[in-house]
Amino acid sequence: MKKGQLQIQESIFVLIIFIVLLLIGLIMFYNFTISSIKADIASYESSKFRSLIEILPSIPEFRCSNLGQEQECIDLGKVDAFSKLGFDYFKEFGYRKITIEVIYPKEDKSYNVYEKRPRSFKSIKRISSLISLYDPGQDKYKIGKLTVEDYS
Amino acid sequence: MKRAQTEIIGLMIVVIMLVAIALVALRFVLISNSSINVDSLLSAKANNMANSIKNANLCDGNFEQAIVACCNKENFCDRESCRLISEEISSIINSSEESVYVEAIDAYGNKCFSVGNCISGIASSSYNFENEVLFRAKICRKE
Repeated sequence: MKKGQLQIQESIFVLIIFIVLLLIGLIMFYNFTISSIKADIASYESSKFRSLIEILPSIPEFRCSNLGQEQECIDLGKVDAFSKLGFDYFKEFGYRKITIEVIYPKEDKSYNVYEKRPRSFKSIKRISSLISLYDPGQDKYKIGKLTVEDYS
Repeated sequence: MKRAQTEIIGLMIVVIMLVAIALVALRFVLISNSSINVDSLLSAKANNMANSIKNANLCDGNFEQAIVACCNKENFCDRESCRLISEEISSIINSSEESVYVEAIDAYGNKCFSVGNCISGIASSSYNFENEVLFRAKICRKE
């Protein structure tokens, strides 16, 4: 083989190795990007689910107000009306279950605020928080447990 | 292989290694963000808990008045206020999924009462009752 042919072969080998390394890099980068996007989606959904504990007591549908002044509590009158009327809040709450249970003073009372189950789901994630409740019937402030279940 | 080609391949290897290190570093940064989310959730829970206890009715008054009475060593509801509060708050925090610590501190920095046991956790905002009592709740971290 002539010296020129040998040098061309060398260049071709280098090019092939370079392209293989480039492809491996691209595939790794693509996989990493896809898995990172999936992780971002999961993290976004998870933080959206967790933030419900902060958001729910402050949405106007449930929040207490006295003479137009808003207070940091949930109005049981509004919750009762909301759960009975059964509005379509799928866009806001998605496939979740939201319940409020009165824990102080001890009452065997709970409100099924919202529930939408998917046909099939792999797991249920649950978070809860104690919240301030106002009972307009008795004009009393109580303590409740807000539980949000996420079907995923 | 020519010297220049060898140097190019060496440079490529260095670049690939740098990219790999950057990706690993990025991953660690993303993981540390998730712990911030957990902290913000615990903070919201602690604030909700302190606010709910502060507002709740107790006998003819509410917990806020009972806590102030406790710090002033007065009776509330014909009972020793600190004992009454401790009993009632203990029954409330039993319903919580997390370990909780609740305390009130008077104007001189003395602890009026505390319920629960917590080494480290996320505290709620402090509520100031009648400019003389600070009240707060803390959600304990899982060890």
